[in-house]
Amino acid sequence: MEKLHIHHTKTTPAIVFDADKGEFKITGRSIPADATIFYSPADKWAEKFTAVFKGDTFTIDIMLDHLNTGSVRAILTILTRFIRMKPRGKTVNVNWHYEQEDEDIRDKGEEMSLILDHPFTFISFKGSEM
Amino acid sequence: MITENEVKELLLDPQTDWFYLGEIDEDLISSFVSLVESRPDFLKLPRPSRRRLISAVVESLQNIQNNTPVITTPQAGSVVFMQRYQSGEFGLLCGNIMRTNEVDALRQKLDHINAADPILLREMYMKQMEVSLDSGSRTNAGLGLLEIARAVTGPIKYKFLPLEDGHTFFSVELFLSLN
Repeated sequence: MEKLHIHHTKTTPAIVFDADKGEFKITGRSIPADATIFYSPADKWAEKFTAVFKGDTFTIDIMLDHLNTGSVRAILTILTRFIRMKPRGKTVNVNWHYEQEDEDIRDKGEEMSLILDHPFTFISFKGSEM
Repeated sequence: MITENEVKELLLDPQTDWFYLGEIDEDLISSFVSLVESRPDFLKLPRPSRRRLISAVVESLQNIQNNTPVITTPQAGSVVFMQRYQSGEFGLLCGNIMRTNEVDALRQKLDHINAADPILLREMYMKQMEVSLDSGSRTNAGLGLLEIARAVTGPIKYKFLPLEDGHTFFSVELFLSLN
């Protein structure tokens, strides 16, 4: 499956969805005016990927320093697609990275985890690591 | 037509750093964020304060961008946005022209949000997000205001200034603790 690689901008994150390498990452800042449009390619990619994924375990890493409400909704929509693989016996891991002192971003991840009714793994890092 | 001077009288005070009157687009929002982040005092703020500040700036401006109706009178896309520092707080003042027949609904929404404590605001945000996801809605449907309320210190102070031809100038004043 062709990989998806979207480069980051001042208002949008980098997205790498690479099925061959098993690499799935959303990193940077996500404050686009229309998050639905921005995340549309990733959403379509996820829809196709989940229909053909043959592995047992899927892991996505999300590391964002800011995300607006539209981005929260768009990312939840994409994560919902991945989580829907669970009834097919797939393990779905969501790694939520947050800067050590930034409890707000951790809380945002916890809220998203509750909304999806799916546990996230929370991984803290020091500020210089992003 | 609302004039620049009327906006100044409504919102400007000596502690205001700058203001803008015109249309808001994505590039402008990005520039505003860069402007805030380039301030020497911004980088001295604790990380959570910086995140809340940027969140409030982005949500406020995108709220204006998404909710300012397309009109030709009194003035197309009239918006204003300002910031100021005072005694340990960062202040944002911003506003946009809206249709007067939508004022009551917005006032009720704001009063409902202002009456909520942080725990209830979180519940309201999560419930509204679930509704938005279930409905497949592309609009923020009040989520932006809830996010603003969660980022700022104290209630969202707001004003409605009636204009001509069924339009009203809506402004909000927000404060964020820098501690």
